[in-house]
Amino acid sequence: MAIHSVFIINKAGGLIYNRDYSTNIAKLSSNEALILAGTFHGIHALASRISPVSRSEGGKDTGIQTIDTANFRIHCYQTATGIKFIAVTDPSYMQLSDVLARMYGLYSDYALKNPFHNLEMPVRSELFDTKLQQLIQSS
Amino acid sequence: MTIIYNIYIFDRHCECIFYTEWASQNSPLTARSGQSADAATAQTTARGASSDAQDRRSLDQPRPTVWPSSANSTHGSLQRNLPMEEHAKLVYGVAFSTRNIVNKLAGKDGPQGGNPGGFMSFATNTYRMHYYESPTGVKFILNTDPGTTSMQQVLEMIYRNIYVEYVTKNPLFNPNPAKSTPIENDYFRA
Repeated sequence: MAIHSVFIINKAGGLIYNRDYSTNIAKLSSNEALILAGTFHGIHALASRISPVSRSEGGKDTGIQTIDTANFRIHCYQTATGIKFIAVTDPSYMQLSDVLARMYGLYSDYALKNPFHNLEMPVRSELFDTKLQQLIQSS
Repeated sequence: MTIIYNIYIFDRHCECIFYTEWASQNSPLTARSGQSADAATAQTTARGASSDAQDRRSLDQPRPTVWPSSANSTHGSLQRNLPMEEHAKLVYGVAFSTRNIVNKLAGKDGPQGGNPGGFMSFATNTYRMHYYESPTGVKFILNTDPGTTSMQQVLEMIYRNIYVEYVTKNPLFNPNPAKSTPIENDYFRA
């Protein structure tokens, strides 16, 4: 139960899903969450640009994968379509890419396969919320 | 094995006051817009040679180039390495924005100094950037390989033992940029 919150950012950098699962994290207003998502999208793009490792040597830089701080850790998983799944967790969680990959699976099941869902728009689906809650609680 | 690529030091006024690279593969120092690659490499070797000439100790490897350096500028005009300045601004922007995100999520604010949210580092799949901010707002940024978990102690030691000792206590040091050579000399003892 150490995943504090989840954000999903679309290809353009807009926030399409945001949910808090514990009270440890500061409560963000919707405006603040939008700004945070946009900023993260920007620095994620810049991080591969300022890399000290050249492209041919180290392979392509995929962008920020984790951010470590004193009180929590931020994990980011970017899909091939440009969607970013962000999770804020305890510092003890080293690797969250499998959970985030399963989150991507849930997103594609309950959001993308929904015929009424507009692409790149905020996700409004009860089933998605419930399934995501189950996934968070089991990891 | 820890590989350190480069280090940046930014002061409170968001200026890059020090930059050195050890193993950087796409070095912004050699990136010159609109010039041929030969001219660029000739420039860096010339710069390296001049700093070597100033070095009276014998070292195994040549000293890495430091930027900004007052040694290369003709008196009067300061040679501006524009791609390097822009690169430094990008790096500062990424670090500053990440620090603000962390502060916001931690519920604390404070652009003045001291890093209240506790941002320590971020990692991509090719490198990891470590961040340390002094209470006065001096920011140290270190790029290493992604396997290194924490350089917080190292950066704090750099600040406390090298920066405070040799830079702040240097009576010739003015709070405006152009990092002087003293930090360069004592850096390589560590």
